[in-house]
Amino acid sequence: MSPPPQADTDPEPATVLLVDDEFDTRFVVRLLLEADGMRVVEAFNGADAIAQLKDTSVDVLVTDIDMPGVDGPALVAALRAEPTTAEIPILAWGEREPQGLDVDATLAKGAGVRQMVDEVNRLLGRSL
Amino acid sequence: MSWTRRVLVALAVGLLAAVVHGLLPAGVVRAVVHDAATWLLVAALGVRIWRAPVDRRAWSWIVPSGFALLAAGNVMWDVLLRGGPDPTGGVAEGLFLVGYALTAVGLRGVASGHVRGGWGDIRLESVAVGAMAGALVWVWGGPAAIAAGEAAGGVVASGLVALSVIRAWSLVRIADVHRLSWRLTVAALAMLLWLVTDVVHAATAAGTYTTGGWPDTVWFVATVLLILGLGGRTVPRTETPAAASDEPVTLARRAALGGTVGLIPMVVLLGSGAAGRELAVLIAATAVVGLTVVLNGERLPVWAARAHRGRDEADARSLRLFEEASWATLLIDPEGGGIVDANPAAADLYGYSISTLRSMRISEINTLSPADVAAEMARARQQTRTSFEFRHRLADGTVIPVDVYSGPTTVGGRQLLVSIVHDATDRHRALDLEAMVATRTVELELALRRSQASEQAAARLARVVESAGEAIIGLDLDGTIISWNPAAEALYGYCAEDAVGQPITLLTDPEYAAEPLMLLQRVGGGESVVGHLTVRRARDGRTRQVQISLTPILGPGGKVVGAAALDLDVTRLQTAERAAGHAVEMFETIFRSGAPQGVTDLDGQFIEANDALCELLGYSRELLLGMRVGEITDATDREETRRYMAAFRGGSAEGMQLRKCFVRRDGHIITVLANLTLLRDADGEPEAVIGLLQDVSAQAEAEQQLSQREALLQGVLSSTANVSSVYDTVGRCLFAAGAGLEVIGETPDSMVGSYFVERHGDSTEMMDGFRRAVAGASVDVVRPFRGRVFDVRFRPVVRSGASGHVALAVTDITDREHARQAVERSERRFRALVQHANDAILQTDPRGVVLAAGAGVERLVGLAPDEVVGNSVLDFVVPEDWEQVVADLASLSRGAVTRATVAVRHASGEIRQVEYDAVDLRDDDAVGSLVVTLHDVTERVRADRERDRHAGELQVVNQELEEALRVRDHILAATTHELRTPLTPMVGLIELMRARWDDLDREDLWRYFEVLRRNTDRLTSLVEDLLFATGLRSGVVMAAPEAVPVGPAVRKALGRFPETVDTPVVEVEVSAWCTPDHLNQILTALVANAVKYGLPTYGASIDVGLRTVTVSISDRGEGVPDDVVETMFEPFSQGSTGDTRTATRLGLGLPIARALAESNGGALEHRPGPQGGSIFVLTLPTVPASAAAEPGLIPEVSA
Repeated sequence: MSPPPQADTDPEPATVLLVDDEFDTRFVVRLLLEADGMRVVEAFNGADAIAQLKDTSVDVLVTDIDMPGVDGPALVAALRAEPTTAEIPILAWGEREPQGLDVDATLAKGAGVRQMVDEVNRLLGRSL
Repeated sequence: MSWTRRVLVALAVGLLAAVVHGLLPAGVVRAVVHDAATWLLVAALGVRIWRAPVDRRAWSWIVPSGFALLAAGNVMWDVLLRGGPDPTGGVAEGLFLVGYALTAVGLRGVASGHVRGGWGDIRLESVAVGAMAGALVWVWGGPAAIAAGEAAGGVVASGLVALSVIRAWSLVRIADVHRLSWRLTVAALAMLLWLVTDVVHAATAAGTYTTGGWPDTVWFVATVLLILGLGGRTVPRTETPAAASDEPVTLARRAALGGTVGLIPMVVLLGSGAAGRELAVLIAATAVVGLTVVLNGERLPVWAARAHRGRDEADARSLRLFEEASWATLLIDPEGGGIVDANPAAADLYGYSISTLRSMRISEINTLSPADVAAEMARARQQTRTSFEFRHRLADGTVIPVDVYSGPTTVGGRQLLVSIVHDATDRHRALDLEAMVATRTVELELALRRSQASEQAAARLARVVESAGEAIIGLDLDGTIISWNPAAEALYGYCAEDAVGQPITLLTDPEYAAEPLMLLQRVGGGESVVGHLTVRRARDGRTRQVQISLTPILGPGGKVVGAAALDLDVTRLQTAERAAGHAVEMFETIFRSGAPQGVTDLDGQFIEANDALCELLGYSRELLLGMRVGEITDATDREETRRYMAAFRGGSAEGMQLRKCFVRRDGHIITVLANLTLLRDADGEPEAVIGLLQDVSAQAEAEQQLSQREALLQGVLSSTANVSSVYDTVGRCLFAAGAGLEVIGETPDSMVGSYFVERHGDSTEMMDGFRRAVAGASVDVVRPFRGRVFDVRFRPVVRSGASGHVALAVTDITDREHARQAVERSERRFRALVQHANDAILQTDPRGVVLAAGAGVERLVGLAPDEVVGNSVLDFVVPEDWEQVVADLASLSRGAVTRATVAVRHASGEIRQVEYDAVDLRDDDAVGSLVVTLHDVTERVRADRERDRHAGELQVVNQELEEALRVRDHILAATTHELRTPLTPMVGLIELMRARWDDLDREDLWRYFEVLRRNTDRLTSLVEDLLFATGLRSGVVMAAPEAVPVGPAVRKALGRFPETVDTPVVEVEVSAWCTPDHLNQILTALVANAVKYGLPTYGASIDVGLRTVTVSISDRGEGVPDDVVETMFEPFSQGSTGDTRTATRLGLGLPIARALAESNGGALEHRPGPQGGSIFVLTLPTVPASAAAEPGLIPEVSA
């Protein structure tokens, strides 16, 4: 699959850190986000995500809730406690729409992958 | 036998002894006889001491001990020392000397004890002093004397002489104290003889004189005399007084004694035919003896004079009294308070021995402080006081009141106090009793205030008052004028009608307003006021100087009820003398007219007596004025009379009222109440005592008779009696009255003259009661009689102290009795009800003791009613409930009901639950106890418990159901999650493919297709798992094993998960004996688990055992928590961990995998990885030999 053409107004592609334990889910979501011109970094759980953040600047973070090891809520708490990561916009999505998390957007996986990509764009300040 | 004759006999015996001694051959025989005499002396003294009645101290063991040592020394001396040096190395001499000193010191001590009580006790100190003195002499000169035989011996001898002087002197002194009893005189004489021998010994030792052995004879004679004097059975002290009184020792006798003593050596000297030098020495010795006698003789006149005076007057008599008196007597040293001597009665009273008393001080006995005791003794010595009331402490610690009469006395030339001590306990008791009687008497007398006698006296007084020429005003103690004579009217201008009933202040000048009541207060206390000058105001307003004399008016019982005032107008009198004369005159007017009055001086000598007093006492005035109060006072009162007279003398009392008993001239004893007032002279010094007497004898007697009459009346006429009757001793009715007679069909006439036995002979109780009443007892009997029930009270009628008549007070109590019986019947019915009721009913007392029990109780506790009654309910209550039962019964208030449940133990041991209602019906006449109703609630309690148990079970079921519902919810949630997870990429991919279908190349499509297929597989296997899990729970898992190559199966499973595609497989070509689908399912589950819960890197290895194939799937994750290890092989178990991550997992993989492994004859285990993470080990059987033989089943072997 060839990457979609980049918009002129946004020469630097936004970087999205995608955290999910399901390989296939990450695969499909990556495809969708890259189709929208975003760069995607993957992590398979919260601990992995934090490791990725050490050497990657991230514009939006998308995280699953249920994951082995450090799960979604633990990741959110860790990021918000750390000043360098406290401002990263976060979209949390799970089987059910997550409640009570200090995140910028939430979504149920049942709502569809397309909507999740739209939500990421919104967090990036893009109007679609 | 006279004292002189006895002494002469003794001297004769002494001479006989001298002759016998002279006949004895010199040498050992004589020495033995010699020494035997000393031993005899020792024995005699021992007997003496043993037989001394009270006081062994006087003849303390020290004296015979000394003599014994002396004798021992002598024996050694005689037997061993004779004719040579001392073979005992001085022991004999030492014994001799110590003994010598002991006798001296001992006798000295005895002398002191008898005379002074100073160091009167011969105590250990005496022994020590004696022994020390002897030892000193011995050490000083003894051995030296033996060695040198000469000069030092003289020193020893001098010491002996000194001791001997002490000894003889002491004995003489003892003899003196004991009034020179003949025995002691002989002993003293013997001591002097010993002194002579000692002097001669001294002279011999000093080498100045040699004898022909005569000192031995003298010594022997002296010893015999000592035996005679000190030995024997008689106790000198008891025979002393007679001898003393008969034979006063004069100075002449002393001189004769000295002369005799001095003569003896001369006689001996002449008898022995001594030469000139001997004569000279003997004269010197005689001089020493004479000096001794003179030394004593100088004192003798003094002693003799004192003894003489004492003997001639009261000394001898008092000494005899002292010894023999039945009253306790103490001789006390007034200086230190030491008790010098005490008589046997004192020893009895105090409980100390005489010797102990002698060692005590009076302050140890008297409970007063020592200073107070000393002060009292000083007063006694100066004779300012002779009688005391003390409280003395006895040996056993009790303190008793004592009366002590104490006075100075001279004993043995010393000023001592003799105190006679009476135990006053009884008197005090009697005084208390008397006080009670007196109080009662006064009460009775007050009750008789309006008796005729006093009315007569008042009338007599009134006549006198009316006729008097001076103003006489009667006042009551409040100051109200109660009588007013014409002279008063003349003085003050008020007529009797105006004055009587007015306060006396009517007459007082305002300046003196408070005065009358002050004077009346004094009169009320029994005093008379004589010649008090004051100012009064007459009706016309003019003031009058008056001189007032107030005399108490005695009412019945001798109580002061008012005052008679003589008011003498001195305004117009020339001199005070005249006023005084008038006052005295008027006073005498009253004195002569009223109640018996008398005046005595401070010694009790009558100096004035009025006619009434003379009449009362039966003496003429002339006779009475020559007498003292004490002479006409009954013995029981004398002491008190002395006491109050002393109080008046001392001015410590102004007035008093007391009850006195006088002896009339005719011998009758009369009782009077005396109001005594101290009169003082012009200087305020006590001068005389005026007494107003009231004869209360007649009143007392009348009152006694009255009370007897009252008693009789009370006995006869009990207020509630229906019949009152009196019987004489033989049971004849003397009197009968009362409404009750009618009831029993009698009249007073039918009763009087009949006999008690006629009506009551059938009743032993009545007859017995009558007999006992005749004997003086009060008896109450309930008597059913002629259809009625009577309460019969027998009361003895006491008349003049003799019992005899019997009064009967009979009350008809039939109705009361009926009521009582009704109550009893009711109570019986209730008991019967209790006993026969089917319910378990108990009657108990408040402590739970069963009074009655019903039949139901037996069913409940298995005990028959008679086994329960009398015992506590606690007997069948289980101990755990005792406290509750006790508390319930105790807190039960009258009429209230308490309900509680307790466990009771049936006799069979079975425990039953009982609910009881307890009610206190003690106030209910029909019940009178606690009533406890018991209900067996065992079944109910059992049912309750069953219900509780079922409820518990139900709760468990409910919990299980709730758990099941929770599990169901979990399964639903987990299933949703499991379904959602593969669906998310599938839906997303489908959307992508639709949107970009035209842009997708084949390769993309293939990759997308692979994703879709994989997730479809997951969904499929999930559904299969669910189906399988359902089957697993129902136990339907069918295995159809065959040989399955393991390696390809592992690779296939890893291939299903993209995460594990690069996983190296340690592969062995081997086949397992397993259902192929099952193997796939197991391995897929293990890889899925590793991917889900573990972390890369994953590992897979295959090992071949003997009959097994093992597949291990490992990961590098965090491992499995312990609590999860326990449950991860159980279906739907993951929800129980509470882990948010696992909460949404279905958790079917591992349980299914294990179930499949086991159904194929294998196993699935988990073990922790060596570097963290987990290893799941699947073990399956290898292909069996039987199956291996078949073609196609041989394990694949490939490259």
